[in-house]
This record gives sequence, C-alpha cells and structure tokens, in this order.
Amino acid sequence: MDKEQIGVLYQKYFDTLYRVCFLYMKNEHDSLDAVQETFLRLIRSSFKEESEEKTKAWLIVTASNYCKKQLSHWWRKKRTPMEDEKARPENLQRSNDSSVLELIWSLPEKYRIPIYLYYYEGYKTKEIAGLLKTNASTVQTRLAKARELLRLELSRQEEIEIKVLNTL
Amino acid sequence: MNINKLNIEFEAMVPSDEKKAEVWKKIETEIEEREVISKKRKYRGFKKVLGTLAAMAAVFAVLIIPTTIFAEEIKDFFSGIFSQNKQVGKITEQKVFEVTDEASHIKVEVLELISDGHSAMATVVYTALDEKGREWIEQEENAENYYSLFSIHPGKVEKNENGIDVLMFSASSSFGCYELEKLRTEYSRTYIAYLSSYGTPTAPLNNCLIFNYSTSCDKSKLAELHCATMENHVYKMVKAEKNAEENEDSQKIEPVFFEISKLSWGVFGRNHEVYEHSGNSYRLIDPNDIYKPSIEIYFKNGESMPLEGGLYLYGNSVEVVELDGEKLDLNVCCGDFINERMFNNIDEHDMDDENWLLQIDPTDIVSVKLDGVMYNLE
Repeated sequence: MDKEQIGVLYQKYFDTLYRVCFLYMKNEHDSLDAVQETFLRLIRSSFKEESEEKTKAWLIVTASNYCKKQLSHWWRKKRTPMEDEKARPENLQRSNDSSVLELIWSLPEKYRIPIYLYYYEGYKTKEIAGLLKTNASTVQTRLAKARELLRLELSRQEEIEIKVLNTL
Repeated sequence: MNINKLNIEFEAMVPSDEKKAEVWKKIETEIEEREVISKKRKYRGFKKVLGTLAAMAAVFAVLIIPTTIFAEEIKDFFSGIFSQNKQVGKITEQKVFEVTDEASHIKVEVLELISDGHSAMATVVYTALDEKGREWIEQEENAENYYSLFSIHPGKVEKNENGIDVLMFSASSSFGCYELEKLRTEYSRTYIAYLSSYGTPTAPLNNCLIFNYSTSCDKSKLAELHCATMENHVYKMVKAEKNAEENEDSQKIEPVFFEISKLSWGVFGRNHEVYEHSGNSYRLIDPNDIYKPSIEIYFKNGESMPLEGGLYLYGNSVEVVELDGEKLDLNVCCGDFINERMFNNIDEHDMDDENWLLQIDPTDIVSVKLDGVMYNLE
C-alpha cells in the first residue's frame, strides 16, 4: 500500500479507530498511540485492501488486539489511574449534559465496546462476535446487561435529583 | 437510553485536528522511511542475487525436508472435525481446496466444508512448508487477525480473457472465524470459519462460495468452493390447543414455520411491537428492549431441549419467504447448533468422539415451545 492509499484509509477510519481505542484505553494519549500503532501495523503487514468492510474489520480487530495487549501488561496494571477529569473524553469535559455517554464510560470495557459497535457503527451482534472473538449470544447478553445497568443508573440518578429538589 | 443522543456524543468523541495531524505525521515518516529502505534493498538484492541463490539452496536442503515431514505428521493427526463425526461425516465435503504458494512457503487447505444452505462451516488450515513460511505464519497480524488471511462469502468467480480469476458477483452474509488454538503448532494454524445467511437473504451458502485467501507470495487470490447441501426440514407451526403458560412475551412473535437441520435452526414469523419498517429495513421500536425469545424443542420420546446460542431477531432485514404459493415478509429468530464454546472444549484426544457435536435428528422433533406457548409441527 502506498502513502496515498494509507492516507485515504487514515481519513476514513481514524475516528472509528480512535473511539474504539478510547473505549479501551480511557485516555487520549494512549488512544492516539494505539491508532498510530494500528496504522503502522497496516503498513508493515501484507494486508491488501479488497473491500471497505474487510479493511474496516481488519483495522478494528488490530486496534482492539493492541489495546487489550497494552491493558494486560503488568506495568500498566501497576500504574495509578489518571485523574478522572483528564481521563474523560474531551466532549464530556466540555459539556455538562453528556449523561448517557458518561454512564457508558462508567461501564466495564466488555460492555462499552459492544455498545459502541452496535449502536454507532451499526454492526450486527454476529459481526461483533467475529470482531471480538466471542460468540453472538455473549454479545447479545452483554448488550442486554449494559442496557440494564444503564437503566438502573439512570433511575438512581433521577431519584437523587428528586431528593435534592425536595430538600430545596 | 436515548440512542440518538448517545450517537451524537459518540460522534463528538474525537481528538482535535492538530492531534490527528500529529499522528499522521509520524505514520507518514514511517512510510517514507520504508520506501527508502525498500529502494536500497532492491539495489543490494540485484548485486547479491547469485550469493543469495546459493544460500537459499543450502537453507532448502536443511529446512524443507524436516518441515515437510512435520507437515505430514500434522496431517496424520488432524484430518478434520466434521468428517470425523458420525452424525454429519457423510455429508461433509472433504479436501475442498488446496493450494501451495508460488515459492512453496505456505500450503492453504480448506479441509472440509459443510452447509445447510443457511449456515456453513469450513475448516481451514495454513501450514508452513519452510522457514520463511514459518516466519510469515508467525507474524502477529496473521496469528491474531484472520481478516489478513482469508474470508469466505457467497459469490461467483470466472476467468477473464487473460485467464485471471474475476469476481462475477458477491453477496453479503455474516462471516466469523476463530482459531482452534489447541491445534496450533509452530508450523500450522487451524481455523473454523462460519457463515450465516439467516436474516440476510442472499445466495444459498453451498454451491457459490468464494474463498478469498492470502499467502506469503499470493495476496488475495480467489477460489470457488463447492459443497452439497444437507437436508433442511421445514415444518408449519400450529398452536397447540392446550396452552397454560402464555405470557406477555408470547404475543411478540407470531410464528409461521420452523426450519431445522443438523447445523442450524430458524423460527420464521411475524413480529408484533418489536420491529417496524423504516425505509427498506426493519428497526427496533424500543431500542432499550431487545426481545430475546425463549425456545425449547420437544422430541418424540417426550424429552425437551432449550435452544441456546444466537437467539435473536435480526433488526434490519426480513426474509421474503414463499410458503404455499404465498410470499411472506417474515422476521427470523435463528441459531447454530455448533458454536465456539463447543470447539473450545474439544480436547485433542477426543476429537473423534461423537458426543462433542450436538446430535440432533430433525425428524425426531414434534413440537416447539416459544415464549411459553406450545406449537405442534406439521
């Protein structure tokens, strides 16, 4: 693949890869590193672009594998987590009204990625299963569980708001 | 959960243009460096070609012979999964495709293929034939990301006037793949690929499959795979007279017929208040609530078995099915009998044990319980 072809893919898939990496790594710096590494692997690999679908899937799988490997390193496990505010996506820092994404942010990684791939990227559960190397029923269960956790958290927050209003 | 709001927030979850440009700059540098190195290598390679040929002959003598023997040993041990099974062995297509790349570094085999028209499964083996092949197969991308290696999808290939294989048509279907890690050796990788066209009506998954593969020498070659279709049994679902367990969910799908083979199953029916038409596709009415029906099959001897696995309605497509001369627009709730969990539980020593593969005789099934409501099969 030449520079021009890589450049086209970079423009096309950067945002998707960044979001996938961000949902794993939870900070901008590591996510940018992961996107960079994904494209470097593309350059070094023998991958040949055949269809948009296949290329996108290849990039997502490679980025996910890289992030998972990074997260499993012993030195990362020993690292102190970044301050909450710095670790949050920029648009969450900018806005006070990002309740849904903020809640998703609080979910474990195994729920965050399927939610993003299903709702935003429009993948089917079977396709997500292929990307995440799990089976479709597991993805289905994780989506259902994530929705349930979000529903519980939303209603808990509503209750708190009502209590606060009542005390005023 | 407000999906539109969530998607707007995902949309905004990107770094600044400056940071995006910074990353590109680093990638661009690597590309340029590689281009320079590649040019230098070509020049040096020309000067050293005779020396390299001599060295290659020596490596060939030392490495090819033992690895070829090694490859034969693997073959003796592993001759397939489906073909070893008493239930489906006879209807499994064996030695479907085999090719060695031009420089004989890698051998690619589609060892076996089995299909019922809706679902298909193939066993694909990559074997290194020499040291270069071993290095290639060990590349991280190849080992971890099967998309680099191959894919299978419905389609047709024909040779053009120059004798080159050209894709004549290509259709979509769900494609997934996983490695049988227990069979991994230094010189080989074994994969199970699975396809499903339930819910995405395309071409049947038997006589028009395209195997799109790569090797260390050949990037993206096409081959056609052929496979006989195993018998599919189709039954009308008629509500039983005595039904004590009807609940709220029972109203969500109105089943019309049940299709089952030894490989997969599907309940076709009209949905109520689960999906709605949106343009040319279907979408969930309430995205917060994905309907997951419970399904149980009953056998002649009174035994029953819940159907587990990919139990879901596809959200964005429908099957247009012809039944008794009438064209019906139906959703399908489906699943495969063979899944990754089963393969991961295979121990090398009981590979040929018939018990690991679910044994279903479709003619033994008399009724299906869907969301607590019993339906007799006719």
